[in-house]
Amino acid sequence: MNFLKRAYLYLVRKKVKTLFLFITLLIIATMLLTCISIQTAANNGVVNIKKSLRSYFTINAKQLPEGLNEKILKNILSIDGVNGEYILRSYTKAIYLDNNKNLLKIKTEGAATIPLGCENAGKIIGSSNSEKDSYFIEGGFKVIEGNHITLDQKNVILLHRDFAYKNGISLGDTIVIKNLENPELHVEVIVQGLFMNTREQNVGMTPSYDLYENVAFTDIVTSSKLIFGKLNNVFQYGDIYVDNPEQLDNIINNVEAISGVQWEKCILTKYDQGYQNTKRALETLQNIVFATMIVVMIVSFIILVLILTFSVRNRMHEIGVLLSIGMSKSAIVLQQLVEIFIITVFALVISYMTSFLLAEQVGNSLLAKTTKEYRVVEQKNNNNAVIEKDSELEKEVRMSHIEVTISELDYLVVWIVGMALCSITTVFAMIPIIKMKPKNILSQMS
Amino acid sequence: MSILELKNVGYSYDNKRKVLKNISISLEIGKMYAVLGPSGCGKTTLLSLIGGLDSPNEGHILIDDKNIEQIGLSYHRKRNIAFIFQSYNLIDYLTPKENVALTCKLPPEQVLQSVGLTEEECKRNVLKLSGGQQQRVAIARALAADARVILADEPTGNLDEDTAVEITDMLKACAHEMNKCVVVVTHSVELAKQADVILKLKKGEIQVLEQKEAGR
Amino acid sequence: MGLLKRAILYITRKWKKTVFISGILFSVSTLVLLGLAFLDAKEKEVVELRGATGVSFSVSRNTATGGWGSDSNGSYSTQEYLTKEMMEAISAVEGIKGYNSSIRTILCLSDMEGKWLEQLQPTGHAMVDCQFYSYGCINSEYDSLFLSGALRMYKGKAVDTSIHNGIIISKEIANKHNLSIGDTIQAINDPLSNDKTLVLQVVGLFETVADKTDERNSYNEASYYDYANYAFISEMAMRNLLENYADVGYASADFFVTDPEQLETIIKKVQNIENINWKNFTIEIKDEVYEQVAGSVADTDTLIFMFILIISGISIVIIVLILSIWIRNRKYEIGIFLAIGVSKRLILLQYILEMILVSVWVYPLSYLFSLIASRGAKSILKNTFSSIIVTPQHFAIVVLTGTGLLILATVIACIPVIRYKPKEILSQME
Repeated sequence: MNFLKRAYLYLVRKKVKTLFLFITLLIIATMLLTCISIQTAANNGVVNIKKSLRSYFTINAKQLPEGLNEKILKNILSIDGVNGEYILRSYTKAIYLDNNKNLLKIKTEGAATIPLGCENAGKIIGSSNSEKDSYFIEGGFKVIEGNHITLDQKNVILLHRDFAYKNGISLGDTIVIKNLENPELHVEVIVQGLFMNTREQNVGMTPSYDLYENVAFTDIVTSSKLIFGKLNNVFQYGDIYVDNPEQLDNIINNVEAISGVQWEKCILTKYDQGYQNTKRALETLQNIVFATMIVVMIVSFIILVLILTFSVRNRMHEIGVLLSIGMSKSAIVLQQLVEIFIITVFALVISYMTSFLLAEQVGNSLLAKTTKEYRVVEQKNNNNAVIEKDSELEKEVRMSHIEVTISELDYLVVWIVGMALCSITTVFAMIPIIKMKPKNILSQMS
Repeated sequence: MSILELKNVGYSYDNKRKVLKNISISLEIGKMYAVLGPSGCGKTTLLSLIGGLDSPNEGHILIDDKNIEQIGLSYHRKRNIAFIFQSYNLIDYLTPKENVALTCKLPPEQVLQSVGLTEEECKRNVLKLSGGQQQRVAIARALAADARVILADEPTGNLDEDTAVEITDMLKACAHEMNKCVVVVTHSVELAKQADVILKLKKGEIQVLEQKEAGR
Repeated sequence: MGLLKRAILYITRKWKKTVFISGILFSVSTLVLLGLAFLDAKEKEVVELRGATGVSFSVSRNTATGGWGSDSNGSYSTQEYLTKEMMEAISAVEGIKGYNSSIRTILCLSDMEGKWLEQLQPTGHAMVDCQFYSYGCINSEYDSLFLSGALRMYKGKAVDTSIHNGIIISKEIANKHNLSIGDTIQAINDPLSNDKTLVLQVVGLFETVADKTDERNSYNEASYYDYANYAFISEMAMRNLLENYADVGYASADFFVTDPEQLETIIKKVQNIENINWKNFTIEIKDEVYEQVAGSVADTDTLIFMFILIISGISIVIIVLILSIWIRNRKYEIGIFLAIGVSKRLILLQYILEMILVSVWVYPLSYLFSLIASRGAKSILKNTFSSIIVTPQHFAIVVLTGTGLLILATVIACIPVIRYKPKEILSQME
């Protein structure tokens, strides 16, 4: 009878012992696989957090007379790590006229100065996404009629409500804005929205064109025409968002390597304060996950070694008998190895299913929690203080993008490590027994 | 014909207590030897040394004039020796047939039949057999090994009188009819009486006591 | 022979088996202990993470509900300002970690001899070049310029209410005028009127991170000044400097919370503060950054929680499994006990006692090991592991639940074996 047959017979006839070992190995393998998948998912969670901190860098190309164009933008967007979200901006001053070429009235009370030529002029901010402009987000502006400006629009404008009323302009009307320095550059625009400021402006040093009522927002095509005289999207500033704030320096280096731009004349600035504030906590969370993983692995290792060693030692008598009838040591070790091998293979195969189910449960609990987390803040309370949200961005219910899955690579690693560990442990556990003289083994057991 | 020879064999536990001193004997094929002596005198140790389960501290053990250490103890146990223990020492997850098949040289069914086990008994779990039946399986295993030397350590120790007699007869037959060298360690005077030669162990030294003619 | 004696004999004589079961128990209890410590640390870090997103609410005077006056500068609101008492009352609400309100003006700075300090890139007009855009802060650390990362403290400390006459200037200005921390300078609001001159001590230097030339900041009139020409002074000093002016007040204040999840509760409490007439003030919530990360933070939070939960659960299952086999291996011994008349109850008690005796050294050892491990990790990874602490509470939890589980597991493991009659067990073994 060879060792393969003996191994098979042991497994089949010592069902309870086999089952115990199988279940233990199954549990440990499941635990390891689930841990790995959760660790990956948790790390993805941290990546998501970093992403959602919306770090970006700004290219200030105001000093470039030709500005930045779409081609350069495309090059920038193709850099690894740039997530494709961006805001383009340009700033200038323009004279306001109605569609009959009559000058429109601006606000002058409170202005520190009314520079020459600016008697009917105001600041024009060209934006690819006016909703995210600093005037709205930090300056307290709010659109009260109509809509914000978005990337695809052209020839539209947002005006201050007071400016519009003063000049009898309403939504849908057409006005003309003319470049203050270069009157040949002018654009006809349609009033798409009216905004208001919610806070007083500190006007100590403010020139007339900077008074809130005299500020207007247009789309990038309009500002491109107005400032550069070009029909395609040329802009002065670009806010480029990245996925991973840690890569900002790298990305900026890559941007400066793009040819055809005098980067020395531009200022590139990182904006990742959100990330900087949360960096330590994020790192700690990742380390907690990592540490847990390590502890789990060590503990699994210890438990596995203990159990296998114990199993082998329990068969000391059998080993003694086999040695006494002249069975070679290698045959005895091989038998044990084959048994462990078979059990481990079964356990590993089934562990894929069990850990898959477990991972699925974890994944489902994530989705459930996320939809509950979405908060809606009350708009009013009974003390009549008005509670406002700082911006009126529409909030989407954030669905979890984290999947808890088991990757093939992880599975393979657990297989290899598991098999290696079990085999090595078995062999090592047998060494002291095999080294003993058969006589001693037998006399110990009888 | 002499098959096994012990030359000046000595053995001590932990280099302190000397159990066997200067044992020199010659064992022949076709004879049954009984090793007698008080408890703890080293009978089982002597058997272990002959069987290659352990090595002597002094002296040599030769089989066919070759030192068993040089042949290799494992090889020696496989080729030359068959053990029968007091507590049977069967593998509990193998049937009688499979236990016998471990040593594998002769067909298990025949050997089991020759020791008086039925077909049905051969298929049962060994733990469900009676003491006598288990010992028969052990003997069958030893026979199936087709070894020239059979070493039995208190083979009848756990058996009733009638069964003991049967087992003793089987062992005798091994020696006389199958031409094996059978060495039996025993407390049983009855069994000792059946042996051809009695080896008495006392204070580590051996006395070859009675010699009976071979074949009787 | 007593129960205790049998238990002790088993443990001491079968020491190898005892080592085995101790090893298993030790591993699992260490795992659970560290798991509990990790859970606590995670809680702390997640709260800090949420807090680090800078969630705040600002309380501002509601110009829509107040009256209007007018002067040469145009119309202005006569709505009441926030007072120091109001702000302190609000900041006393639990969950608020800091607040700031700034009074802004243009100050002229000079050295102790009275010589004007010149701005960076002066225009050539002495009376303009000595002007610095100044913030009188209750706590400059919480000013939006520092929070947004536009400015960063380079040396020294922030001005807060504990500093009465402190000033923070830019490192460029400090270099230009050879000023360092500890030096004193003088400040005055309008040198051409009879405004007070105050001596201020330089307590900190800041550096500029943001691109000041970026016109996005032009919604704020401060943009006319280079950041390097900013200054931050103690709020008390500012009040002193502006004592001649009646309409100086706090138009709005920003309050920062420790945990954004508590924001609604905090605001409700704030609104219940009695001596504030809420008709005159608005509350604006600024939780942009938090809203963006909330989903992902919640996900990560849940994941880590489940991670540790699953592991603990599985470890407990392993213990139960191992104990079952353990007891099963002693079937023969149980058979003999039953045969000689020892009651089932006493056998069970002996095994429970053995487990408890083993736990007596396993748990403390496990606690010690966890302490050492976490401290060791802390010293290597300093910052990031500082929140992982194994506490006596964790130890208590592990001991209590562990002992309970061990007893339960032993009982469960014994059931199948003890159910047999002695004869059945003994005949099985022969």
